[in-house]
Parts: sequence; C-alpha cells; structure tokens
Amino acid sequence: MHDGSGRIAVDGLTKSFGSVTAVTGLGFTVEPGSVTGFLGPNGSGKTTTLRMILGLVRPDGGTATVNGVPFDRLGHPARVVGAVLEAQGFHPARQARSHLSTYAAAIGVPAQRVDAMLDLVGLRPAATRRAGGYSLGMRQRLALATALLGDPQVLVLDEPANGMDPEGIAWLRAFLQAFARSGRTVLVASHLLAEIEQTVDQVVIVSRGACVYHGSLDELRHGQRSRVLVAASDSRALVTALRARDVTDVEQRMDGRLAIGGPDRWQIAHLALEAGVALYDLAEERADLEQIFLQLTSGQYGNEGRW
Amino acid sequence: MTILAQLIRAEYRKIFSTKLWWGLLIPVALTALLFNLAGGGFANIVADRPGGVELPVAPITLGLTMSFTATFAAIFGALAVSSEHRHRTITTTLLTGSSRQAVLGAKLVAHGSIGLLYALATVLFGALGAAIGGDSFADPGTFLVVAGHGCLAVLLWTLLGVGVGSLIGNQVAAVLALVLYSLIVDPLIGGFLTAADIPDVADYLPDGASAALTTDIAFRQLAGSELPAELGVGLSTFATVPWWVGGLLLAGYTALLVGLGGVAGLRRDIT
Repeated sequence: MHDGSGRIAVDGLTKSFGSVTAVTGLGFTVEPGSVTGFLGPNGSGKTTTLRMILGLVRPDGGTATVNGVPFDRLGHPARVVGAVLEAQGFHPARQARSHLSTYAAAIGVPAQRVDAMLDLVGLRPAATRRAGGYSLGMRQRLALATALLGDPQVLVLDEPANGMDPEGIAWLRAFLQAFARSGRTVLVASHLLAEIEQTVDQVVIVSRGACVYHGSLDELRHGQRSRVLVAASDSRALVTALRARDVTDVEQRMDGRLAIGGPDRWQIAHLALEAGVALYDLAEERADLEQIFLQLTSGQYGNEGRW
Repeated sequence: MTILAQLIRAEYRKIFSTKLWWGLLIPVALTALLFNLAGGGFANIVADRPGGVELPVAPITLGLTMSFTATFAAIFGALAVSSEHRHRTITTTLLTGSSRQAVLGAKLVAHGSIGLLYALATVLFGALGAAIGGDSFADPGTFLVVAGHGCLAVLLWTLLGVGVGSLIGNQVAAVLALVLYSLIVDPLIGGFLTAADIPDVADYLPDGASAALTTDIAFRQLAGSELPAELGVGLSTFATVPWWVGGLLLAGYTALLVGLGGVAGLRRDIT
C-alpha cells in the first residue's frame, strides 16, 4: 500500500472539547524522507491533532489527510499509517504475542510478522508474558511493534521515549532516522525539545493549539542572533567602552558574564585591551534551542537573567 | 469481504486470549445442569406419588435457564466494545480496522457466535441435568422447540448487549444498565402495568417479548397436561402475543440498540 506520497497534510484544523479549545486553525504538512518533530508544551493540542490525523477524534473544522485522503478512507489504514499513542493500551491479561497476533489478523499479515516485530523491538524473550506486567518502556516497545505490523509508510508517535531507558531511547532514535531515510514519513510529538533535538530534521511547534513555527531545526537555530559571552575584570568599564563604539546590545547575566550582541570575539578582545580590561573567558553563545522553543511557546520564560 | 473476515478473526483472537469467555461459560453450564436436575427431581417426586402424573417440567426449566444464559450472554456482548474502552485497546482496534462500522460488525459476528455457544451449552447441560434428575421431558418435541427458540433469544440478547456496550462505552455502566434493567426496571414497569390493569403491555417489553419467544410454549404445554389439583396454580397468565411476535419484538429492540450503538460509536471521540 505504498502507493501514496506518504505526506501528512493538516489544514485549518479546529477542535474544542466543551468550552476548552484544543486546536485552532492548525495547518502544516509533514513530508516523507525526514523525521518531523511536533513540539509544544503540555496541553498545546499535540495529542488532539495526532488523534484527528488518525481519525480517532472528529475535527470541528478543517481537514487532516494522509496520502491525500482522510484516515477513514484509507481502506487498509494500518498498512499506511502506524501509530504509537500515549493513551494506547493493552489488555493486562493478554500476552504480548497474543496482542500482536490479534492485530496481525486484523491487518491481514502473516504470523511470521509478529515474531519479526518482537525481535525488532527486543521483546521476543518476554513475548509470552502478560502485557499487564510490562514496564512502561516495554509497553512503548510493544506499542511500536504493533504500529509496525502492517509495514506502514507513515509512522506517528506521541511521546515515544516516555519511560524508555537511555539504551532504548538511543535505539529508537537510530530506528526512526533509518525509517525516515528509507523514504518514509515520521511525525514524533514531544513536549521536550531536548528529547527529540538529535532525532528530528523538521519541526512543527505549536502553542495554545496554533502553529508558531514550521521549518527545519537548523533554520530555527540560525535564526537566533549569535552573541559573545565575556567574563571581564571590570564589566562596567567594558560596557562603557562598548557604548563608545555604539554596541548597546549588552546583557548582564546571572553568572556575572556579559552577553554581547554585534561584534565578534576578536573585536571584543581588542576593545577590552584598549580599555585596559582583563578577559577571563570569551566564548560564542551556543544557540540555545530550548530557549528559542520556550520563547516561541510562551514568551514569559524567555527573559532569564535579562535585567 | 476479506477485510471483514480479517476483523472477525481478530475478534476471535481477542476473545480466546483472555479468560472471560469461559469464565462466563462455567456459571451458564452449571446453572443449566443444576436447575434442570432439580426440575427433573421435582417431576420424579410428583410422578412417584399415588396417582402421580408425568409432569413436563424439562421444557420449562430449560426455558428459564435460557433467560439466565441470555443475561450472561448480554453481559458478554456488552463487554465487546466497552472493555476495549476500559483497557484503551479501542485505539489500536480502530487504527487497524477499515472502518468503525466494520469493527462493530466483526464484533457482532464473533460475540454473537459465542452467545450461541452459551445457548448450546445450556441445551446440552440442561438436557443432561433433566435426564439425570428424572423423566420430565414428556414430549421431546417441546423441549427441542424451547431449545431452538432459546438459542435465538440468547443470540439476540448477545447482539443487544454489543449494542448497549457500544452505546454506553463505559464498561461498568454498560453491565450495570443491562443487569439493572432486567432485575429492576423491567419487573417494576411490568408491576405498574399490571396494577394499572394493562398487563398485556409488559409482553411488548424486551423481557416479556423474550419470555413469549422462549418459555411461553413450555408453560402452555404444562397447563394443558393433567395436573394434580394442588399444582395447578399460577399458570393462568400466558403471553398475550404469539412466540414469533415476541421474537420479532426482541429482534426489533436488538436492531434499535445495535443501531444506536453504531451511531454512538461512529461519533465518539477516542481521546
């Protein structure tokens, strides 16, 4: 069923639960061949959006399509889209293998596929254990095995690293990247940028149910003005010298260092020499994605240390 | 068609990979065995008395056990959808099903067949119990008719339960609704109607319709036989509708609840 593009398209999506507006006019597309992060704080509408893409929640307005058609018209949905969702459960008394066999039957894939998926996620030794006795990390792996049963073209994951150990997270990261490199689509939602920063190429950032950034992670990183962090023997004298050269973008940080925007490290070093100020530390400020993310999603957290 | 067959196979795997189906089968079989055994024993006592007659009790006890089986089968049906909500497996089920209607259809087929299994177990263990207890079959034809009608009633109740489970969604609420209706609501309404001098209407309620379909024929046969005077009590009221009308009414209620359950399941947001 890999006939479509593998593109996820969301357009003008809107959903309210009672008086609570979960998503308002959200629109973005997810292209195959890359891992797209779906970022936003808790309660920003990520899960609701994923569930609307998957036909589990009916939108009040707008459309969500996979391969150009709504989920409920895919025909063999599990052969097109696999999903690992947060509130996805297992019958506690059902063995992991029985769980997978059940859905293998529903999808119409042979029994060998069950063993192959158990091997893939490393659950073969625990296959005959009841899912109720699984740890959170094992549940996530079982959910991933279920999602992959139909050999889907598109993979949608909601907080997949939740409860996984570091080894599992590293494995998942490599798996998702390899999955995307094979020309397939990966959309992974998280509220922690750091968790998926190393995995994703593209990001869709949502805040309060609306899209605030949609593009590559690199562009987001480079969009941030670069500054130089300086620890000086006499900050006041250095600031005065900078002002004399019309450099006013200076910020006193909590750690005592100055964050200077405009001149590069060499220019600042020369200025300090002329002003007779000793420099103990001189470093380019690393574009802090986490801070950009926080600024985009709320703003009130973006002013740490700014006096 | 093949997709529906796949979904039905998946439903069977769900059913047989947990213990619920045989957990409910045990009380069904035990009740059928013991209740019919007691009925047979009672018939023996009556027959052994001086001037005793052969009482056709077995069709009645089978009919009554069938209504017990129907309750269990309805509960089993109600869990088809609601337990998926309870354990949040409904998400995976809908993600692997071609449509919500197809998933409900597969559940109706799979759970309906297990309901029939319960009914057949009731017939089997009921006949066994009655045979061990004493000779109470009288006319085996009536026993077989009650068995056949009982199977139909149990099947319809199972499907009705699937509809209720899909309509309500919550596992506990769905089971409570079924049990409370059969134990309290229906008898209360029947009582009110009798008190209001319109007892016939009770036959049009689900339980009344089910009784008209299943047990009425057995009671009529018993009343038609030569009863000892001291036993000929309480047999004056029969269903006012023929068995097939009872069957159609029950089928109508089933269709209504399955329809409502289907619409509710279609519209429900899985969050």
